Amino acid sequence: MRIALLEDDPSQSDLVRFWLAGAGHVCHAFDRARDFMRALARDSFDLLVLDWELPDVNGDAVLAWARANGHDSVPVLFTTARDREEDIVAALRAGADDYLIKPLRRHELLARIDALVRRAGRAASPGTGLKVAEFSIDLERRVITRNGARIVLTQKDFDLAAFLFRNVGNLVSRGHILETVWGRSPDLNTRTVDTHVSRLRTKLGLLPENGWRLSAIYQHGYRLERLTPHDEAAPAAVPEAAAPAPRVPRAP
Amino acid sequence: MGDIPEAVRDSVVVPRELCELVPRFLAHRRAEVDRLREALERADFETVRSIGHAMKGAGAGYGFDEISAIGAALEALARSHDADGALAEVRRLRGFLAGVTVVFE
Repeated sequence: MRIALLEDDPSQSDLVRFWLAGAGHVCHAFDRARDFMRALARDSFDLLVLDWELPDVNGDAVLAWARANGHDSVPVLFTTARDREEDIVAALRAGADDYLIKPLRRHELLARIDALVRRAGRAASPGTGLKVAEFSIDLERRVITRNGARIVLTQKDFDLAAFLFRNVGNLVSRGHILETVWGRSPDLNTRTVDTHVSRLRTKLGLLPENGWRLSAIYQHGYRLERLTPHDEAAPAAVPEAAAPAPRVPRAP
Repeated sequence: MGDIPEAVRDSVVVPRELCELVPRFLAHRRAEVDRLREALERADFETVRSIGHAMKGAGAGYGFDEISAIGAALEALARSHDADGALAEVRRLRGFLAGVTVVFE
C-alpha cells in the first residue's frame, strides 16, 4: 500500500516508517501539515496516517481539509498520545476511520491498516477476485473477463487494470500508479503510465458508450468511473482540462 | 555527570531490528533534556507539555517504557504549571539516559 504519514516527532516517524516498510508498504512521511496537504493536493494514497498535535496545523483540521478536497474515500487512521474518550470521539466524528493511542504497537498498527484498507476495497489480496459490473478480475490467475470473455493483457496492463478497478471513482495520481504497478520512483517518466492507460481504455472498452469513463485529470492523474445514464448524456467532468488545484490553508 | 554504578543501571531489551534506529531515538531524548531545562527556566510550560507528549507517545514503541512514563508525567506536570515537579522528572530523564544499557535481542 502507498501510505502518507503525517508525524512531527522524528523518532515516532522513524519507527512507523520502519514498521511499514517491513510490512511491504511504501510510506511517504511528512513532518509538517502544510507539506502534507501540498502533497495531497497533487497526489493520491491508499491510506493516511495522521498525528493530532502538530506544530503548524492540527491533525483534525488536516483531516477536514483532506475530506473536503477530493480525499473523501481514502481511509484515515489517527495516531495520537491523546487518550481521553472525548478526543477519540472527536477524531472519529471528524471523519477518521480508526484511532490508535500512542505508544503504538507494531502488530496492532499493521493489523489495523490491513483492516482499514480491506474495508475500503483497496487491498490487493491474491486468491480473491474482484467483480466490478461486467468485469471479473481473478487476482490469482491474473485473468480479466468481460461478460465471461477473457481479455488478453500484458502483465503490466493486468496490474494497472486491477489497480484501477480497485479504485473506481477515486482520483489516482500518476506517481501512485507508477509506485503500485511498476514499483518505481514517481519521479521517473510518467509517459509510461499514459501509454498503458490509453491501451487499456481500448482493450477493456472503458468508454462512455459502454458505461465507463477513464479520464485523465490535468496535473493529477486518472479516474475510472462507472457512468450512470445521466452521466452518459453529460460531457466528461474534467477531461484533460485545467482542474483547479485544491487550496492549502495557511498556518495560523 | 559522574559514572553511574553498574548496580543502578537500567537495562532495556530492544528488538534487534531496531538497532539502527535506537541511537537516533536516544540522541533526540538527550537533546530534549537541555530543551526541557531551558523551557522550565523561562516558565514555558507549553514547550514542556509538548515535549512530554511526544516522549509519552514514542518511548514505549522502542521498548523504553520508562521514557513514556517520564513523558506522561512531564505532560501532566506542565499542564498544572508545576515547575519543581517537572524539573524532578527532567533529572529522572537525564539519569535514566546516562545509565541505561540497551540490550538488542
